[in-house]
Amino acid sequence: MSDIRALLREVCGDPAAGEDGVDLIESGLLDSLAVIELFTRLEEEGVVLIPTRVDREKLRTAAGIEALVAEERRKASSQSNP
Amino acid sequence: MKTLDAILSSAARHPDRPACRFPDGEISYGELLRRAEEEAEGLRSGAGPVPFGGERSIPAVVTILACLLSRRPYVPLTPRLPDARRDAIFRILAESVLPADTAYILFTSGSTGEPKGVPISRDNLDAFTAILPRWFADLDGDGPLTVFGAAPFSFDLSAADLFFALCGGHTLVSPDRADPADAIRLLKSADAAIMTPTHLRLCLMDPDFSPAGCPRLGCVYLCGETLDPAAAAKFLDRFPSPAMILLNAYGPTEATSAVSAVRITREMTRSGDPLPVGEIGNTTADIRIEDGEIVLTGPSVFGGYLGQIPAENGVPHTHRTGDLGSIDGGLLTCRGRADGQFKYKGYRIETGDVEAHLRALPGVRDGVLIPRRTPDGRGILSLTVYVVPEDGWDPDPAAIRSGLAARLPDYMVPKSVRFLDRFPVTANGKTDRKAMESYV
Repeated sequence: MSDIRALLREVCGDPAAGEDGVDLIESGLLDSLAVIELFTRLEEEGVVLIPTRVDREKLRTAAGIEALVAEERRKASSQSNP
Repeated sequence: MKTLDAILSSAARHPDRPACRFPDGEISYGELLRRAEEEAEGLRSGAGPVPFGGERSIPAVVTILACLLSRRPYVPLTPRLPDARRDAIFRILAESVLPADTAYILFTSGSTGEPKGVPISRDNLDAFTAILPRWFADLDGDGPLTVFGAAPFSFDLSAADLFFALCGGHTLVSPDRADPADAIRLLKSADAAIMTPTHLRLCLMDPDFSPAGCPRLGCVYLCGETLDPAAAAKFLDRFPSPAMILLNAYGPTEATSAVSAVRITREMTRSGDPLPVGEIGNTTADIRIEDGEIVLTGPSVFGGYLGQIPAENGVPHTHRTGDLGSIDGGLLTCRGRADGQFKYKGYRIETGDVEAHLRALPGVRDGVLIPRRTPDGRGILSLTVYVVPEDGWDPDPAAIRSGLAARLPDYMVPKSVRFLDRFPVTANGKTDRKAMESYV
């Protein structure tokens, strides 16, 4: 599993994006372009998220995004190993 | 004026047909013309440019048409512009002698920190609107089309969808920008879509952006920034019909929205080269390469920035774009810039514009703007400013960002602010921007 926090630091362009307690949306760190880049990178690793259907509240924090990705991975693996 | 005549003809032939369907409502061609005539009556008693908020709305389209009718230049302003930037624009408008027959004026980033006014004449606009049916000629369908466009009117990509739709008697639909799902909802019934490559990438993340979800979609026209071959390939794989048209267009604001466009094929996306942006012989200006730079001459090229001495009328105007390019086999390809200008979210930004305002902030001894590129060259990912603070000044990223937000359009405000004791320098003693690009 890739390091989501490192990915966030990279796509947001700021070390603060990987820290706890930072509101990624309020701070402007995770803007629309960063969301596209984040989801593109995740898609390349087999985690498919749809920007228009993801609960934006979950994108607010690094922990929320980690939980979202973990959930998608669980769904994907349960589909392939019923 | 051919553009205006075509819109009037659309209104005369199909008064009941919807001209625009926007988040704030729908308006028919007949009603659009009636309201524009009414507004034009008032405008005829005055003179000079007509500024208004550039967000897409029915009143904005009425004003655009009213300005064309009353021969007053319209000036769509970037949404949410801070007062200081708006005041600078109003000052430039008040102090400049406007060229006769200006259709509209757009303001773009200037390298000194002052916005630059680009007046586009009615003849320039006619040259652009005349070529649009040619670029879209392969799009099937005899009846009216539903055309999707999302860019604010302050961004000249919007001229492509606005005038393609209105001159052709088509219906223009635009999404609520606050609701990311609205674009996909509208694309489900659109025949043609005009957007930036970034917006295309966002659409491609939605499974409903597919032949099943968007069954009528026959053409996507992209302009405003570099189209990544991977995004183009993904689109053509998603919409495998050979009838699907992917147009990649190019042009600076100074030459009226776009001077060239070319249909992108699968072969082009596989070549490993940057995608072409135009086809020689199917352009609104003569295109040549001089010392590696794309140089434009012809009917769509403006006559000079506001405040500068305008070029003579009747003589073809030339614009040196500053874009590097090449022409091979009749196809034009862009190969970046040689200066500090770049495209971010489709908007053009001069590093010098942001830096002039940054260095004017209290506590900033020196500052530079570094656009951060994606590792695979998809484009600019984010903006970072590096600041050397004055001695004894407490480095506060929020203060820097809010200081810039009070002076610049929001797309120019960097997400990230980093502080350094001093900037790295090259062997020649110049600030080493390349070194800072690798800092993140």
